Amino acid sequence: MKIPLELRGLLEDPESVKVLTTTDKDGVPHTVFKASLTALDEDFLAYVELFESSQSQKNMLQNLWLKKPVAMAVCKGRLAYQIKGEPYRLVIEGPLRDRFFQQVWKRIPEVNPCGVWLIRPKEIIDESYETHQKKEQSRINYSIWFQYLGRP
Amino acid sequence: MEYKLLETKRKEEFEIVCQKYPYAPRTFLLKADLLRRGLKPTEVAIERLQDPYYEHYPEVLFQWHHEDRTTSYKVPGTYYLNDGTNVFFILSPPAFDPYTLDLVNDEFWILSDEEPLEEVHFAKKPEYYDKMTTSGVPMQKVANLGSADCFFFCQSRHCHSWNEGLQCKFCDMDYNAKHQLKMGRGFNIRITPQEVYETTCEALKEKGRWRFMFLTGGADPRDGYERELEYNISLIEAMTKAGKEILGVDRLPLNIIMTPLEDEQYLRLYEAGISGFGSYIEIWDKEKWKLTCPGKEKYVGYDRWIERTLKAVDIFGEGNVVCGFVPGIEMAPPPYGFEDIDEAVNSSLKGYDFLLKNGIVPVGTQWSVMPGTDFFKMGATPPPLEFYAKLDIGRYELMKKYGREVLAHQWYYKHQPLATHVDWLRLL
Repeated sequence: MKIPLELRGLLEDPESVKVLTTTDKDGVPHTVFKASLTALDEDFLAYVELFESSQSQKNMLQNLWLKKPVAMAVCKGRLAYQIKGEPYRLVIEGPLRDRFFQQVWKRIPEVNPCGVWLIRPKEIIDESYETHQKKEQSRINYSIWFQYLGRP
Repeated sequence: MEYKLLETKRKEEFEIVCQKYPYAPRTFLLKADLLRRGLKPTEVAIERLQDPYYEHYPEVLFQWHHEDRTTSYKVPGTYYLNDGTNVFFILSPPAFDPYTLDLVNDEFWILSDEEPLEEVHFAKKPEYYDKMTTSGVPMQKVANLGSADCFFFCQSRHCHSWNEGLQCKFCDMDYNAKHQLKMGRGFNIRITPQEVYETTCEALKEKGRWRFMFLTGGADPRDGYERELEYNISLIEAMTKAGKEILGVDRLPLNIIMTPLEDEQYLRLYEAGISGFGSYIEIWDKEKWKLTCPGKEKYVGYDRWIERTLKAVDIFGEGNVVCGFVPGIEMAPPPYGFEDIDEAVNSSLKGYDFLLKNGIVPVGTQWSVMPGTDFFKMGATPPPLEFYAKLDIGRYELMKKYGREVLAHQWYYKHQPLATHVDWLRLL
């Protein structure tokens, strides 16, 4: 699945809010902010995992081994996307790792990151306000039955 | 029933063990099996690997392969699975029923009977590798890539035990040195402090890549190991000097693996810049130790080896002392090893338990049946994969029991491609 240009732009915007949800081996979800989440290219998402001991890192390994999906959300203003994907690889060495680590070290010089996770998107859902609004409004007789009376 | 590697099908054995031990991550079992059975690269894969982008292992410590590398093709050291597991590239003869390394859709994959199992990735050559010391030695012959973020020095490629035929039965050190010389690959037996200083300086210029380094090599028991110690200290001081000059740090994350010493000698190592100490006891059973490691038995002795290893904790601190094993030799041909898997596993677990209780981390490098070793000459083959599954699970239970405080992650999954204990640490 290809990552659309609008989503790539949103992921590259430093002001976007980005979260990642993983699950442990019992299926318990774990959600965290991942400021480094971005589109590596049109095929992969990537983020820097900062800590070896984090629950996200443990879950990502489990999700990779068991081929379980993870979910990500990114938003800025009224633009928002949800992406479901599969962990593909933890990059611990080489030019890609170096590039991502250098970016992280500019923000957090003292951190010793674990690696760069690559995630292959499997489903991309437009969660923006306008899209949902259009969907709602497409219901028959929306203007008659879905309006809160007296709202500002 | 007696296990015969040469008559056991790779794929069948791997699947049986995976099903029997679902608790064990499949990639950890695969790593143990890749080290055990080795790899056979296809022509296209090995040709692709000649790309100078990749690191090629200069074979200065042990050969590690199950057969002599006699071709002019260079072979990488470490490769990585998609989950970050580091594995060492071990060549094997067809009789070992090795895994295949091939290109699938232009990417490297490990195959088992033509079924793609895991995509793999090879390490970028360190930037210092092609530089030369002022003495004219290629720096890759001075310090080698150990794994993703680790480089190491093999200070002496000769162990004095070989002079008397008392080398450890699984060791190929002097055989490997002669083999490399015979193949005309450029090889020096001993490196100098100046070479170490220059190489460390160059390596550390690759900022942000390294976080662990170690020093090891052949033992020299003369004068109570004092000659070896003095030599090692001169190299450590050279590394420490490089660390100060290039990074402005007083101490590097530096570990040494050598014969266990006396307190005063440990102190000198610490003061020179060593923060972690390791000694390889190789095998826990006392009688089998005497048979397997006759040089160590002659010059130190089993009880003294352990007493000295324990003393290292007083100097370096809990979690900073490791004791190494060669998992697999517990099942070397009798009388060197046990015939029964459980007996072999339990013997080592007893040792791991004792060490962890005393603040020492049991580590290791999985047994490779290398040409030139006594075990190779005996026709030994690696133990069943199930041995490694049981040993790993047993050790993991002990790691959980003693906790993260003892397991200071001095050796971690990014540093050790030759053993699986580091990978299990990731689950703690």
